Amino acid sequence: MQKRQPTLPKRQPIVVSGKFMPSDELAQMLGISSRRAKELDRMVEEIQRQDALRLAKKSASRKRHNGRSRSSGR
Amino acid sequence: MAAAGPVAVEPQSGAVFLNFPYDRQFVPLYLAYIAGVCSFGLTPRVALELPGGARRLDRIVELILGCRYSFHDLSRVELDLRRPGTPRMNMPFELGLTVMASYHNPKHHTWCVFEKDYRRALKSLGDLAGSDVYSHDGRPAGVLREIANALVAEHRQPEMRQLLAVYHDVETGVPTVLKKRGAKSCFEAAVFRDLVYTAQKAATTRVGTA
Repeated sequence: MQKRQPTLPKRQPIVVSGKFMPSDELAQMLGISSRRAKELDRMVEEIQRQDALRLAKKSASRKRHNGRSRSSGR
Repeated sequence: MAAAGPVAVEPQSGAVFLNFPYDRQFVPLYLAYIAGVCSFGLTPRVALELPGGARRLDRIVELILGCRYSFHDLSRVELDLRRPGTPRMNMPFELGLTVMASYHNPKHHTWCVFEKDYRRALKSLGDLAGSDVYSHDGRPAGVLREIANALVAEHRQPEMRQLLAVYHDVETGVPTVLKKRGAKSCFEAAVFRDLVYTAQKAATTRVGTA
């Protein structure tokens, strides 16, 4: 007789609102000073700016590479 | 040991109690839990936030009762080979406390179990048969994927690329946060709070505004 494999139970996802708490409320709840919250805001902005730059460079380099491949293929 | 008695705590609607090990190897998954939970507009809570004073167990119970949801990661329930070789029991113990609390008040608490491989949970904790076990493969992307499987956002459901972007922002911010706090580990209360704020800030721009 074939051994039965364990099966995954049927999942019931948890429904949440998905809304974000305003930054000042969150900082207050976490006990973070407004000065520290501003520093963290700036840090995130800088990380996202650097990431956008990195992606733009990657995309430009890919476009250049594809352009060269197409022209050399003619 | 005498019980401390029932603790009357109203759960915070968006609070998620995270039950996982505090060790260096777990850091990538720890950051993934923070990023994932914050991307759904929820607020992660952990036992390391608890101040000293009252008995640790009482404070943990109070924290669990104060959260509407809890995620329990059992992927590191294994034998610690340092002498004396002992299994890590904190995570299953806190899961047990949570299950009991949710039986008493099912409308006030919903819990989920996360594992590297769901078969591990069924083998080590057969009582979980029939319960939801989310398998994250021991990878941050797996944690994010499974959080997205466990939660449905009414407002807007974050996509996987957005969850990964929030994770990237949090992970990149870790050295700055540690330096600023003069901390050596991510598992310090002040660092945790900074990471939660960072994750929510990142999620607001990466996933969408309220």
